[in-house]
Amino acid sequence: MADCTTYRPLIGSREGELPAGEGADLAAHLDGCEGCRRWAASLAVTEGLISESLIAVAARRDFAPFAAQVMARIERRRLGPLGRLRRTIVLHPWFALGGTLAPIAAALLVALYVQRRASSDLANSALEVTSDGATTIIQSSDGPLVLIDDDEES
Amino acid sequence: VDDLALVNAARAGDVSAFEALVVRYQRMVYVVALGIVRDPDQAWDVSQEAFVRVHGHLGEFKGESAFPTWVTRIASHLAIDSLRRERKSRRDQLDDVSDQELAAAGEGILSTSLGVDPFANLQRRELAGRMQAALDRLPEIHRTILVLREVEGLSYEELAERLGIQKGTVMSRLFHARKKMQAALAGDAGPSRRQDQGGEE
Repeated sequence: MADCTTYRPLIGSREGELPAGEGADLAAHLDGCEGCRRWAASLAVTEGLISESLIAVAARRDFAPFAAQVMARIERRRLGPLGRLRRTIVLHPWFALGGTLAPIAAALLVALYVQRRASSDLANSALEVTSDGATTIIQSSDGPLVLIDDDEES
Repeated sequence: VDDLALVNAARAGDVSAFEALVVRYQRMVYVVALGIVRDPDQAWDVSQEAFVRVHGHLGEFKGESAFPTWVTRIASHLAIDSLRRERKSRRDQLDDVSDQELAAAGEGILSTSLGVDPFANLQRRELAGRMQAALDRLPEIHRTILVLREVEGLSYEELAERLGIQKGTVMSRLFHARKKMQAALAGDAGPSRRQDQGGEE
């Protein structure tokens, strides 16, 4: 049994993996040990089964998206975080729409500002009008403006 | 087009050349990753990451080893790392194989019940069907070494280097892993934990 403990871990070695002497000892042991021969036969029964069963599992999986996903990963890795952010900004539909609308929005804002500013100036320069029938005096920010009635003048 | 030509084209910036390499080896890489991590989505992620890493180091590929060997090696590294990270947050180690099953497996019960000619044995197919559940029942270290040995085809020396252990430890660990696998296959494996969680096995 002590021999079996020594030799069983050697069973399943490939050619050239054991030193010549050890290989010969194992062969001699196997000749005289039915238990170890049974163990070797058991290993032979399952030879290649792990690969076969894993390949069968892999065959059931749909690999159609695999390569494209790998290439996408590579691209993401190549761009780095800043590149990805830049690309998101450029490619995202909302950002793309924003980019198109931004000049229009800016123009609208400027127009609105100018209009409000003009209204504000007009309000600030409220005119004071006085009239004695023949002449009308308008007090503007630029000074008084005197309007003389044409009929009166004639 | 051979792999080296595609690698050279990819190195020169031909995106479709690299994509062709991915399509050529995606299943092979996934098989290794799945064998180690067992979760289909995690295996998918690990496999994709392996190709991304390979792409990032295409300039270092000298063609001394085959392209599939290179990408598979990276995938198994990533799978093992992924398990290590997971293990840090989960102290318990799954080991569903009972001592009784283990004792029986030590006597080579599969050969007794199935006969010694694996190719003539119709029950081999049934065993293959039970393999996924059996893999789920093994502790990580035993499952990993079995997949690296049986699927990736690593030698004792390569296993020692990959796992950072002595060659003697490789042989011993492999023996225990095989014993547990035999036990899990021979015993009534029943539904695996992952099947219960809706896995694809």
